[in-house]
Amino acid sequence: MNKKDFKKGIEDIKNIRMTNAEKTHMLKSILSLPIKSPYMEHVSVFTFINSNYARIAWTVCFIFALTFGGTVYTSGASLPGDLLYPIKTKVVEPVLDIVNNTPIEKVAWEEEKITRRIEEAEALAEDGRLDEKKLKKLEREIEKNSHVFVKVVNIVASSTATSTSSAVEKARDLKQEFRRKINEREEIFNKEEVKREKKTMTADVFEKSGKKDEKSENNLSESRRSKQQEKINKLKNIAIKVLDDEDVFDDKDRNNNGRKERNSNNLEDK
Amino acid sequence: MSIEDDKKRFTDIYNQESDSLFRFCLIRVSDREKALDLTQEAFTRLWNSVSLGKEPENPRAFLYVVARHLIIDWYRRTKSISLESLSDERGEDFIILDEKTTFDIEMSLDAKHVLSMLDKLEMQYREVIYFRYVEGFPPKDIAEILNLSANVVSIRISRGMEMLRRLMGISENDHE
Repeated sequence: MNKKDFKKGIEDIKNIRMTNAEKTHMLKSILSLPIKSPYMEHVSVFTFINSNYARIAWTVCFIFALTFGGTVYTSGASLPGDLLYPIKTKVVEPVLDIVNNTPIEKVAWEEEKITRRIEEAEALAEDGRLDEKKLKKLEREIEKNSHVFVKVVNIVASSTATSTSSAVEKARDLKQEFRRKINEREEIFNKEEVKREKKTMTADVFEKSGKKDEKSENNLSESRRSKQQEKINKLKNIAIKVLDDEDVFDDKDRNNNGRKERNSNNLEDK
Repeated sequence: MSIEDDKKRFTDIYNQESDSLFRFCLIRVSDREKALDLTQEAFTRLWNSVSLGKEPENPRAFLYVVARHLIIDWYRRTKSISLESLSDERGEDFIILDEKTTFDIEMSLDAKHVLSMLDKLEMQYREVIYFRYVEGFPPKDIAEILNLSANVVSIRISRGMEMLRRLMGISENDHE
């Protein structure tokens, strides 16, 4: 190949071009593209991390986490009528409803919720703040939670048991276990309450140094205690009643099934 | 500056550079449709910059740098060869003239021969020779495209031409 051929080859390469149609079409396509807004400019993650905006964002997040975390933590000990109580029941507990997603976790969590409501009632009763309105509210909550508890218990029983009868037995055991816990709690509360009353009484007796009749004082505290206890028991009974109703329903259901089975067996025999 | 002014400036650049950029892409990917896609993508990026008021100082260098990167990306996606080994051997700046190129694109025998000779050159000389003698770019522009100094480009051009002459059997005094 000589220089001339080389030059000719270069010229031939230069003749490789787009057709006019291709050129026009390409230009049209490019110019018809939407123009990007300069305000939507792409910023890399690392640029953002080092920017002042990131520092502000981190500070805001930190303050938010600190405030919100503190509020959530404090709301755990709140009682009906407190400012933070709605956060406990409307924010924290629904989140925990989602977090506890397996049936076994759900059983434990529903138990925990009912126990929490009873504890709240006890704490209110102790402070003398358990009025009718709060009691009604707690009753509704306990009834609702008990129904959910029964549902979840049935799901756990049916998923772990091998037959229908064993599922019913399993559910019954779980419910019985919960009943036992509630009753145990009742006994503990009674003992604590008696102790507390005795303490208060002794203190009062010393203070008033026999100004009042010891007997009437005794009666007064006894009646107050029994009233509070009645309210608490009412709440516990609501939970137990829901469990009992469910057991009765299961028994009826089982009897009906048994009757049907017997009938079908008889028909087959005939 | 209005959008119409931007469009006019961009159209001027497009008319001036589109053919050479398309050629640059086509010789490397040996697929007309792909070459058109790559050319369009490079111009689209230029248009984005122009329309945002950030026109590069040297639009030609901008277009070729973008096109080179697009071609490398395309090779990485499509070729089954080990890119790690390629990078090790040739460094980051490799541009592959496809072996089939000279046979797939419609061109004269002389043109195919020139390309096959260029392909035999070392990578560092191949690109500068292509830009200087095929596209006719001044060393300053080539330096910007390849991220080198103009002096290095000039040296590579002269050494590359020397090698090319040897390969083609042309003496410096041969005027034929």
